[in-house]
Amino acid sequence: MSEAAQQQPDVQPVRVVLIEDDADLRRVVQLTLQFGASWNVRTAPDGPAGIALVKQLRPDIVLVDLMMPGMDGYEVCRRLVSDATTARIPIVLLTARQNLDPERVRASGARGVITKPFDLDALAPAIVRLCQEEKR
Amino acid sequence: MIATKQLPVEVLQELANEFAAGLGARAAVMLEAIDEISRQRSADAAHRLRLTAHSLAGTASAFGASELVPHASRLESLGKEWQERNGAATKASIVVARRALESLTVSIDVVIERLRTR
Repeated sequence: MSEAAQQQPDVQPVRVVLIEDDADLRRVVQLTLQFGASWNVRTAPDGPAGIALVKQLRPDIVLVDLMMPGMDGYEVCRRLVSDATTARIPIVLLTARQNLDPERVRASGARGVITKPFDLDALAPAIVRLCQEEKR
Repeated sequence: MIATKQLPVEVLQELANEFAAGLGARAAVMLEAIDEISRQRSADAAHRLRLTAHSLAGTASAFGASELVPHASRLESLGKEWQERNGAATKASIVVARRALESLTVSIDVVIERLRTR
């Protein structure tokens, strides 16, 4: 994701795929990022649908809930990182768990974690910060 | 620094109303899971309880319903404990779960009333 894409309204908006099983949270995060940061956010309710959407859209960022029924966020990360067509897309994990194993997070290939409950107004800057930290 | 705007109040209210409307169903899923485990060992029911409670704990604060979080977190912990015991639960832990769910239900009523009259 380029810095220009984050800041200038005349360029393509940041494209995000959000994979989150909770419908209420999915909607509020989608609308917050769309309205608040002018990002283009597409959503999926589970891992398999999310992976298919990521492969189809090749977004700038993927946001993945860690704990979902069926395929969890770690497995989504593993599959995206191991696929050459999606391996370079930054992934940020969303989780309500406070006691994550940092080594497991790092090994998943995700750029970082945002812990719920999160400040909706600060969500887009936090995502950008995590994605940029890794590039340094 | 990225510029952000807040969601309009009416949009937030609509989202909060939808969240409130779904709270009863979330509680019903948890009650059903506890009932099932009280009858027989069920790792699947423990998993449902854990996931439903976890989801609520992670979502409630986004809608200003943070008083639900401790009760949901307690239920999530019990679901995790039962899941790790292959769906087996002691009678004492089932009593604790029912109390936590009762407390959650009371808090849900308060949240629904507050969100509707906001």
